[in-house]
Amino acid sequence: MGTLVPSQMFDHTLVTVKGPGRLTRLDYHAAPKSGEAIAPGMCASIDSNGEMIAGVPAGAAGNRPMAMFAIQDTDAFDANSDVGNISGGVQSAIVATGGFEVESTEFDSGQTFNPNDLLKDDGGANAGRITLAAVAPYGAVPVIGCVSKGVDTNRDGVDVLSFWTCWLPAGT
Amino acid sequence: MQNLDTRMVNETVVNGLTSDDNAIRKEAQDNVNNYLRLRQREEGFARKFYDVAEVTPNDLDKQVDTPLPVIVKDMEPNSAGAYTVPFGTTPMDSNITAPRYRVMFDRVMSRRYVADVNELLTYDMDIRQIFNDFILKDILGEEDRKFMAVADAITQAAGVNTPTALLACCQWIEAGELNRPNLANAMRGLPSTNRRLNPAAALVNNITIWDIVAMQRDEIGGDLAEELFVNGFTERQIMGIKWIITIKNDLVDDWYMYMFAEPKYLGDFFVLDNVTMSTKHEDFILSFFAYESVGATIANIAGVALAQFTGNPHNWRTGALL
Repeated sequence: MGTLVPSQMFDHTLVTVKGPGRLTRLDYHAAPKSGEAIAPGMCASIDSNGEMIAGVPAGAAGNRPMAMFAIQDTDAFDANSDVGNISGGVQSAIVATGGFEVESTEFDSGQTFNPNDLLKDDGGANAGRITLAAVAPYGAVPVIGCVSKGVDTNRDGVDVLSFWTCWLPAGT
Repeated sequence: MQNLDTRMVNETVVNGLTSDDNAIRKEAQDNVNNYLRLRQREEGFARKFYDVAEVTPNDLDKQVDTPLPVIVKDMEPNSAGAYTVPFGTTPMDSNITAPRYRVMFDRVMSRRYVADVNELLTYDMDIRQIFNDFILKDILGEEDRKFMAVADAITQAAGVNTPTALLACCQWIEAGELNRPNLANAMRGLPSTNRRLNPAAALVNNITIWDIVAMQRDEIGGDLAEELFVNGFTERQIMGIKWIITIKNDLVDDWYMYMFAEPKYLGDFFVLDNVTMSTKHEDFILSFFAYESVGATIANIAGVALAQFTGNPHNWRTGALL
């Protein structure tokens, strides 16, 4: 009897269910920071070197990292490749201010998400994972989204969180 | 005042690309694509080291965890070796295994350029040349940049004048000033590895090549010295290998000479989507961009070596001064 469960292409996803079409949407591409692992659907940003990192740190006054959401995995074949291949080296993400409603698999499943709850990056060891902000905007943490439908199970049997992307930078 | 012939050509191209007639628009698009593909073969250097192959969806291999295109290839296996035994001795077993590798694809695309169609009619040059200058050169530059990033990663992994255990040889040496003996020593790079490949092509920039031109009659022979003095250097064979000269000295440093093995020993260059110009016309606004999808490898790390014509010449196998 087999016991292995292979990874599937729908384990980690970001679906833009509403918003600008693919050819005109606001996306951004950058090389991921060395050693960074960003899955599709995670929130992300660029650091001071312009490299993509998991999560959206608060930044400093006058320098607030813009929230984005990864389109593909850092190690997807078109973003990275086996040694000796010339492909890859760049990862892309949609920008939170681009006017999207999205479904992401990368959220804190231990939380209850209600419509209109504000969202933030979980930070620390869970950087990139989306969780409840539970604070007023423009405070200590940047707000990166607002829950629309909440948590649902998609057609592949994977739980996804639906929310509108936005970016309310930290203010203190 | 514009050249009238050029203006007519430009009007034909722009009118074709903005035509409401699908057949005319497709013909204009095909003409531009054919033009760009011809220039692509002439201007990119990475492709010159490979037998470039166009692949179709039937050539792609499926993976469980991704829908992205990939081609899985077999590598030549190492044999276990033969040995001498006395009569009556049975053979030792060895499993049949061979390494495999994946060729992965991504997309290279230009920016999307937007223009009022009437602005495109005011150029005093062939509009296809504008497409070439704005779009194709950037795509080929990116293709070459990625190829050189892999070539540099392989050749410079161990450092200069430092042998690698895997190949029992240096892949990057200081080779001394560029003269005939040092050039001949540089050519020993690929054959000195334990895979014993021969170089088939060399890549230098348009600065370094002038040191070849400067070689005297006693170094390269009278006829060639005279011809190089009169005509300069054009792509040709020297010491049995093809020399490719690039103006991209941001990718190939001065005094660097990369050597590559024959394509069948080097790797792959697969074209999934050939360079294609996408155009869109709304009212008087024409927008266009181009894209391609290729996958390429330097699958055999012994297929590339780098000689740097500075300092004093070194031994490929030991890294020691000669």
